[in-house]
Amino acid sequence: VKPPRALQPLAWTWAALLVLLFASLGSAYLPLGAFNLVAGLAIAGVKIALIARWFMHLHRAPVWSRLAALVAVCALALLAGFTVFEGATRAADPAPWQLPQQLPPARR
Amino acid sequence: MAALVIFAGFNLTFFPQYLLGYAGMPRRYHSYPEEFQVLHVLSSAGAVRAGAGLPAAARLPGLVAALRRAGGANPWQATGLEWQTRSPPPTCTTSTRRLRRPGGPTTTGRRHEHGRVSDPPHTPQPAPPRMSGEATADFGMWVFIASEILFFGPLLLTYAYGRARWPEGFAMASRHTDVLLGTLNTALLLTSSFCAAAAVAAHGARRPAWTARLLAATALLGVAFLCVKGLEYRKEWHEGLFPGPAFTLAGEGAARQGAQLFFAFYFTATGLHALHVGIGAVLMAGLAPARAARPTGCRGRRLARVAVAGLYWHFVDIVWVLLYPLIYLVGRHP
Repeated sequence: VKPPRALQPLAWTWAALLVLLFASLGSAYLPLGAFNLVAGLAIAGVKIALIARWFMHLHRAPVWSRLAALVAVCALALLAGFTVFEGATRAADPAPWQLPQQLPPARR
Repeated sequence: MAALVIFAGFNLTFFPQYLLGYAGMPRRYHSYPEEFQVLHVLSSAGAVRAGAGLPAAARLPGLVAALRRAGGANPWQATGLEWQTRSPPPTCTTSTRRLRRPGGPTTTGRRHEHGRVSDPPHTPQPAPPRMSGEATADFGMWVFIASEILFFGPLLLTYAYGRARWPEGFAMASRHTDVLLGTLNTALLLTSSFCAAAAVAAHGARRPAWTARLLAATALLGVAFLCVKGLEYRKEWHEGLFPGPAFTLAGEGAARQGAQLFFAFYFTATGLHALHVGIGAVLMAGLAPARAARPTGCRGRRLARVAVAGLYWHFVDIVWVLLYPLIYLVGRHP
């Protein structure tokens, strides 16, 4: 029984995703310094774009669907910005379970 | 009645806590001074009382259903045409989509009834905007995915924050993850995503046997992913990588703290992701039987189920694609 013909571009996408996976794995062992992370994330970005385009058909999705995805990404970027601001202006305290002693109550 | 019980219970739970806070009680301790005991017991009693109100509230849907049955399809004996149908009205009433131009003949289905064609056939008139069943389902799933983006996004943010603060700890911890199992799992999930996309394509091409096969393959690959993940968790547990007092990773001070936070992130993120994979596998396995995959029912709904399940699966895949380099590949080359 022959598989449907529509499977062909999907199979190519799958092959590309696996190639990218191994490229990502290989790049992690190269001495690139900070660019190890950049390479890993860039390859992840390409993989996500492939999945969104060929598996999720985001380009064919109704405009409302694309808008929903866009709004989520923008909202996340906004919240990420605020988080970075807050993180940059605070001191880092260890979590309570990382230190054995217990702080005394504020007032007895 | 339920509302009153829950209202009273809720206030009894939280008012003592306001008083306790005002009295200077610190939070999240395991032992407290005696003087707080009375208010603590009051608060606990309030929680029990609020909980006792919930079974009463659980009866509400049944009550609503009974009222609806008593009302019937046309409780007011209205004579208008819009009341001459079931209640709730059937959602899927035509087998083909009809695009009716205002004032013009329908473009599909029965046309030129009674020989009545009021407009010339080539009058350019825009079709009224409407969403088909497929588009509605697609939009609904994308809204859900949007909420999931905002669910997993902050997790990745905590990672970025932690890595910026404790780069050595994160790199050291990352080196202790199992890159082989991680890569295997990524390949499994990418393949399962291919199967899900292929299932949607086969479904669109009206190939029910292939649809069922591919959906089953997707679910099986999801289960395989979970099994590998379980093996990995077991290994990490025995190596003492679970954050807490028994954390065994060598290192001092800040690096050790960072490593613990890395594994706290690791178990939270991968655990939540695994939960999503499990739900997706159940969804796919539920759609896989030929009964669900055979093209029956109206077109929109038939296409929508498989397509929407596929969208969810691809999103879960995307989350893992992001987690993979962050967890397994960071700091492989020190």
